[in-house]
Amino acid sequence: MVAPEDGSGRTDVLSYLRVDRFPHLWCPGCGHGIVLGALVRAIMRLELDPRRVVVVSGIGCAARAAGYLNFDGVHTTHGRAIAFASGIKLARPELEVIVITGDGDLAAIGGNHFVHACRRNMGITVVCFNNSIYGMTSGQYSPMTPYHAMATTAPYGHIERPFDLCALAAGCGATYVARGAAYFPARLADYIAGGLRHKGFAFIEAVTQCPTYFGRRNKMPRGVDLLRWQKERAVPVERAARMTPEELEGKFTVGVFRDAEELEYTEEYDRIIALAGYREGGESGCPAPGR
Amino acid sequence: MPNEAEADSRSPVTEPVEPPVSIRREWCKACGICIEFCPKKVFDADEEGHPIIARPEECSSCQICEQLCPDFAVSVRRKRRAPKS
Ligand SMILES: Cc1ncc(C[n+]2csc(CCOP(=O)(O)OP(=O)(O)O)c2C)c(N)n1
Ligand code: SF4
Ligand code: SF4
Repeated sequence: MVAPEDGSGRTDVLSYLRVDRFPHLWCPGCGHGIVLGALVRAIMRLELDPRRVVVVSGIGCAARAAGYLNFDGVHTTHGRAIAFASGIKLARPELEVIVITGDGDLAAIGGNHFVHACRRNMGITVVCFNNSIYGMTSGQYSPMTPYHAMATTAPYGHIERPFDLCALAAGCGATYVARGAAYFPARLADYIAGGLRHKGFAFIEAVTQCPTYFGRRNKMPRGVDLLRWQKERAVPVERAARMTPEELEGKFTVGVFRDAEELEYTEEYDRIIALAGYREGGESGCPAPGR
Repeated sequence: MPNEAEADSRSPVTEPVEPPVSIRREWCKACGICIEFCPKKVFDADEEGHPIIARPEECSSCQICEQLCPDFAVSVRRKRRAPKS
């Protein structure tokens, strides 16, 4: 059983992880381990009952994080984690359902699931490990690859603009939206904890690094270089509000963008079941689920 | 872990204390992140790029290295009360 503290005074992050599978498969300097650590610290801080936590992921280097977490979970197909997670939440609304996804998994193949999940406001927490690239398949550009950055499939520089994932989520109706970065792991854990506490759909973008396929092609070959890049480019949202678009050029904002209370989907769904007159064993106009 | 011979050779005035920070070398991938971002510059790199705890007495138990190590290879014992992480 998971114990948040091991009694030695050391915070026992490792008790939440399947350390028998360590060292993990991520490359030297890959930021995914840092984001995973922040997620574990957020779960620890909230003292979530591990038996009530379910982790769902798709495919990609980021998605592999689910396999290192000592919770029940599902490692699903590429882009579909949110769809599986929605099913789990709908069947068992009392569970804490966490989706771990990459920027390709979420915003490319899984984009449609993402926008509609935001719109529905179902109480799941989605953490996107955004490393600006498809890491697992060796560096093709993703919808989050910066304009003019190099990628395997953009050898002369990328000509598309990336999404602002947080603006997208908020625009589609997500009720908790935040962005952090691997370089600021404590604040990232704060944002994730905020999302886990939140009742509706929570989206947390974690800016992280792929030194192997993004960094090397973009003159930042080491994890250290990319973390320094994050340190220099991150602007807290409060400060960004006082800056001009020119000053914000090439920067990214961090902080909580939205934290609103609105009707949560599974509660709405329960209301509809009641409205339809379903009563256990009663003379309802509606058949009992599963019959 | 400090080895005993080393601990014995230290001055009798300073109690041989285990440094608050420790590295699990078998998980370390020598990425250099802890070495680069430790605010107290506690680590040096060995020939292979793995951190060595060169200045343990400088460690302030801030845990930045623990939280930034992508490989969960660093752990820092907290000083007295747990600070807000
Ligand atoms: C249906 C389908 N299409 C394509 C793939 C190949 N594929 C595997 S992972 C991946 C993208 C991974 O990128 P991202 O989600 O950003 O995660 P990262 O590896 O960078 O952490 C792709 C395209 C697949 N597994 N399944
Ligand atoms: S390919 Fe990139 S994302 Fe995948 S493990 Fe390596 S550094 Fe991390
Ligand atoms: S941050 Fe971790 S993996 Fe990287 S050099 Fe330090 S101990 Fe090794």
